[in-house]
Amino acid sequence: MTTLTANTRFAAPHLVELDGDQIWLRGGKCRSCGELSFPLSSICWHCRAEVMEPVRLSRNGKLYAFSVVHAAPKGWRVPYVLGYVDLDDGIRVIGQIEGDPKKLHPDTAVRLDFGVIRGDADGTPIYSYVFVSDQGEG
Amino acid sequence: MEKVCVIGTGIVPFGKMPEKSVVDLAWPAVKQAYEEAAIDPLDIEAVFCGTVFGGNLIGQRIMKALGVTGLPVVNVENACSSSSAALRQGWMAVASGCNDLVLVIGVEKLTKFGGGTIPLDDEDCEVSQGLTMPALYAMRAQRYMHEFGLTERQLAQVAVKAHDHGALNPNAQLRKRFTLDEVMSARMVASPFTLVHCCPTGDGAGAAILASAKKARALTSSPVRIVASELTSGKFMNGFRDMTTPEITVRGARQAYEMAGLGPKDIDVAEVHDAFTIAELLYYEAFGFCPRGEAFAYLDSGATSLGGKQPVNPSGGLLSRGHPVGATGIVQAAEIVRQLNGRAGAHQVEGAKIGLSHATGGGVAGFDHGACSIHIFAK
Repeated sequence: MTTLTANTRFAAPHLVELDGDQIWLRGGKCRSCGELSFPLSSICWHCRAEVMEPVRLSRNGKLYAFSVVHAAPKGWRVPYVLGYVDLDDGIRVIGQIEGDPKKLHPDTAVRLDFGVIRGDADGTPIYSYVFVSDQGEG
Repeated sequence: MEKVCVIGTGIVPFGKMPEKSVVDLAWPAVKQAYEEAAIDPLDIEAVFCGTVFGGNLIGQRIMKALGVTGLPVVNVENACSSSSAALRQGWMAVASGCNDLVLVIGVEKLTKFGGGTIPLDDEDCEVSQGLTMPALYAMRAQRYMHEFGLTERQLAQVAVKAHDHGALNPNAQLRKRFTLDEVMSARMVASPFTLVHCCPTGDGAGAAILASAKKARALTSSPVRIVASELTSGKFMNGFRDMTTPEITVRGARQAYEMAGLGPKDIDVAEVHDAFTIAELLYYEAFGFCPRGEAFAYLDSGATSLGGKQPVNPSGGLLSRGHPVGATGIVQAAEIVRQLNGRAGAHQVEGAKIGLSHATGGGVAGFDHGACSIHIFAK
């Protein structure tokens, strides 16, 4: 298994929180109304209070829809599977889905992990959160 | 509020013209529009120009090429709705009584990016994970197929219809018919879309001259009235969203119909934002042309083909005419104006009296789309 180190490069570091070898989605929770945000926002999208505190979002959800992407800008390693995941706490997140797309379908249960989502100009792997499906792994 | 008419239109054929500058793409469309309106270009009181990637002060640069300078020029960026949003700005200028004669331009040169999917803002959290515009629409398509039982073969039929129409339009970028098998066996872009499910990228421009009703009567015997000019932006939704119905267009359509005092059955011809096959089906439903879940049956009935009761995208739409993003909205409007004047040529919708144009787009995380602008025209 890949180990996260201080040198691991992330596509959008502000979206995630690292805890040992675990990755979490870094969201926000409004201390005034309880609304969740992803990414962490400064102002609550629901009540506009400015008391958002960082929270870790649910690691589990189900696929709303996905597509196998064959055409993408330079650096992206096509084909890759991109999907919208509805997390158990009510937030929808886009992410790459690891596993065999033939075994995925809308509503498939997925869980959070991390993986390489692209390379930079000189081919250095760039990581991000990803979702994996237990069906998709076999 | 003053009534507003379109008295001149300009469309240059869309295509790949990497050798032309943005200004050289645009000025012939503007000249065509003021010549069609039979006005002296020096009488134009204000200019509203839409572009996404054309660079700053594009309206000024185009007008300089035409020798018409020193007037108010506003440049408008609103993603795929840029020139339809510019059209609304022009409409507001005349409707408010502020101006009597204004010019609206839309222009884009996408060949400068060298092909492929259009570049998106990588500060957007969704783009940072690999979102592309085809992938976004592809996920809408997959979910719609999952919920309503639409098949890939049925979805491909949208592209066949678009190209049947576009083959008749001399201004279309892809003037070629495709069989169902050709659509389905083309190179995959983002499942379930092959290349023929996606609008081509290219270059192009369009223009329109708007006049107050009083001015229009003095200048022409065939003005087309703008009976609704609507613009809205996406409604942010933090959480689950039904991607099988385009919230921004549903809301915009309701506002546009209300403004015009018309309903879906009154629309004789429409140019809608079919950037990808699924979009055309979603918009039949969003505009109320047919009930939810029945878009394919409506297309399959022939209703939306030339000769049908409510032709949609007789120009070939974005799928066939092409989609130089900033040019699209004004060219849709120009197409509808020519339809209502009976001057659309081989893709004319016989007897069309009321028409609609619809440009929407722009990916922002948490929005259906960033912008949407709808216009309804009447003869």
